[in-house]
Amino acid sequence: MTRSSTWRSRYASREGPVDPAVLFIYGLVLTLVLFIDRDALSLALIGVPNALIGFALGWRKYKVLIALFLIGFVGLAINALLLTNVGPAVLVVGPLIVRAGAVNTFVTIGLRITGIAGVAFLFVSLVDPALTVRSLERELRLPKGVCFALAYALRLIDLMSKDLREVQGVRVLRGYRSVPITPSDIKSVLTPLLSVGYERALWVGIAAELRGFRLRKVSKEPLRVGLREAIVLTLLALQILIALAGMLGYLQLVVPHTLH
Amino acid sequence: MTEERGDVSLEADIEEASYPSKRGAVKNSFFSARAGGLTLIAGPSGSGKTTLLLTITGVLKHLLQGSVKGKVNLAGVDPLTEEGFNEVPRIVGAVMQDPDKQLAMPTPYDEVSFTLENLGISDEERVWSVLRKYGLEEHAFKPVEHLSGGQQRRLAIAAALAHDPNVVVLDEPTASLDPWGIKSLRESLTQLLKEGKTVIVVEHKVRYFLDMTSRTYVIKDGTIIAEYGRDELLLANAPKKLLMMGIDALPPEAHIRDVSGKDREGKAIVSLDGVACGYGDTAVLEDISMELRAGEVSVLVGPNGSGKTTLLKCIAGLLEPLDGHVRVMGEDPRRTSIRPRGRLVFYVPQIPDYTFVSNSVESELKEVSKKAGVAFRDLVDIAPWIKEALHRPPYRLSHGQRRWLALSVGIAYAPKALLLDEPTTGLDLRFMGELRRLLAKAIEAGAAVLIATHDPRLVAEVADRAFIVDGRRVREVSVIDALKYLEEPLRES
Repeated sequence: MTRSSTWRSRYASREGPVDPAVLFIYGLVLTLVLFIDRDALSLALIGVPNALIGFALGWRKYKVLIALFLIGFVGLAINALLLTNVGPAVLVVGPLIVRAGAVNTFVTIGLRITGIAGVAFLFVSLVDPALTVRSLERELRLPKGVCFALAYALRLIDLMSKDLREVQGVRVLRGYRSVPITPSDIKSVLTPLLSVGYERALWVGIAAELRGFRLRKVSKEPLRVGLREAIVLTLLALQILIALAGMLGYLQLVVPHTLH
Repeated sequence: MTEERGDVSLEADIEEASYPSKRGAVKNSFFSARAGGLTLIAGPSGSGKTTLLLTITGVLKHLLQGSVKGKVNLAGVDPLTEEGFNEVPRIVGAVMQDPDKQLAMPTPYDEVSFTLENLGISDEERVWSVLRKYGLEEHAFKPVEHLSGGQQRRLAIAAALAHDPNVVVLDEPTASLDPWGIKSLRESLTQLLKEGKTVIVVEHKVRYFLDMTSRTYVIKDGTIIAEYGRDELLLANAPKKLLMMGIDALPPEAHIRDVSGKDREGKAIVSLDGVACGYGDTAVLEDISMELRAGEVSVLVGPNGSGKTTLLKCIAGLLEPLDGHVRVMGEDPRRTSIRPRGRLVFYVPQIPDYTFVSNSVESELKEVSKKAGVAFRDLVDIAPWIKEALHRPPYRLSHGQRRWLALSVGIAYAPKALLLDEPTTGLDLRFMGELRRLLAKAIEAGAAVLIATHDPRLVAEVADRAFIVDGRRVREVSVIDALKYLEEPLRES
């Protein structure tokens, strides 16, 4: 247990591999890029590596959430078939004809949300909520309310995982599926989680205000960019370039046309 | 221990305090508190105790968009004005009812630092001294969700008082505390009173504080209806007077039943043979052999974090035993063919919200009716308030009603074994009566009931048999011995 005077050295034993503020920038910018990008190949080049790293880092703590996310792909496939199943036939399975439009939608949106989820798991797995609130408010000068809300949201993920296990246990006893599949299942699992989460958020807000959150003065610090932070920012820049290349059509030069 | 001699540090004269959705939650109430004295505000659930605290701290007006007509003087500051409200955190240390719902940071160290940083106090040694004072130094960097309920409560108090405020406000501080936690709380309060702090405690289990209070106010339906000085409360008939007003003031011995003549030959419903249970590879409890019989209420007592919940989950089949065998009616609950499994064994968790699956009480009961095979009408008729609450979400019922509904859901499945986790947390006398009635129903149906608790009153009122968690083992003791075990720390303090 280090007992030195600066907040950063005090938390040295708990610091992740990268400064939370830099990871926050990485996550935020990449999420925006993945939202904007419509090119399947660049989405794959950005989304798949981030997803693999994010899911691998988050698997131990968030496996239920990752499983729920993967179940969501069933819904995505149904939506794609119902709404965008147009163009030439790609696959015929009995009476079901899967057309290029549906495949394109499934692949594009699937890669986009996989990438975003991967970045999110990467972020929540590598940062400590208490460090994040300090880092974001001191280094990025974000409003303290935003930083606190974000840090508390990070903490809520752990709390909600614990709540989810409790809810699943009682569901089994009551004769319901432990893992939600239908919309009705999902609703009945989410409602108690959100209810408990709402109450927590309300009382945490009140407790924080009664403990002087409104009076909190924030001292500024420069953004810390060491070797690891530089590598992360370089990777971010590289991925932005890939997205730009994809959106501008340059990736077609190196990829066989049939894959597009 | 305390007398009314300090300066008045709080005066509140509330004409009417209202939430946006509820007018007159508190009305026509006057009370004051003095430095160096403990002021107790007692009243049954839903009587307006918490609202009164939210009013005098300015939270109702400034954070919950409520309205307050009246005057509050809190150590020379008016919390009903914007400037006064800004001063409240420096003057007051407030601990709300449920510690789990007010801890914002991931570890005890962060939680205490958060208060100090907010108030511009950058003193790391102080963080450690506060953690040491509340016995949390060893857990400084442990995730808060891994702390026991009692440790969380201590942390909430430590974080609220880290900046050494002059006025301390505690909302139902004993709600999730075991007797050792209550003893420690009483010691902390004694120290605060010695330091000349003003302590205001809102509580319905007043017996833990009767010997410490300098003044007690009784609130009912939002209005303070009675006021007692210290001497009046020490009179022999005072607890009975409070009891008449729906406040739990009697010692648990007053409720104890004679179970000596009770038939002990009921059929064994649950049997544990050399069971070890825990998480991962770590056993919390081990070598447990016990039986629970039909028509009997057994209680499992032990400190916060001793493994009571873990054992209940193990019996319910929600956790696999690390060693040994759990059998309910001769079946392994994890592999039973009985569907739903709740017909064999039902576990009602400490947080009742986990039990619900629907968005209204009506649809909740319809779901229960469908799965448990009980007529919907019979479920609606169980309690008079159900009909009025049918269209409300179960999550918006009062705490007592939610707990009651969760228990009713469990009983409706007519399980052979019913397992309840701390069912009296936050329950007042009225709901204790309802709980007894529901338990009687389960017993009548031949269920074996096991209750994890550290509430002496519940043990006295309902237990036929008692088990104590002793280290990593569980041993059977007489109900009287279980009560003595729970009361001992309080006698010491």
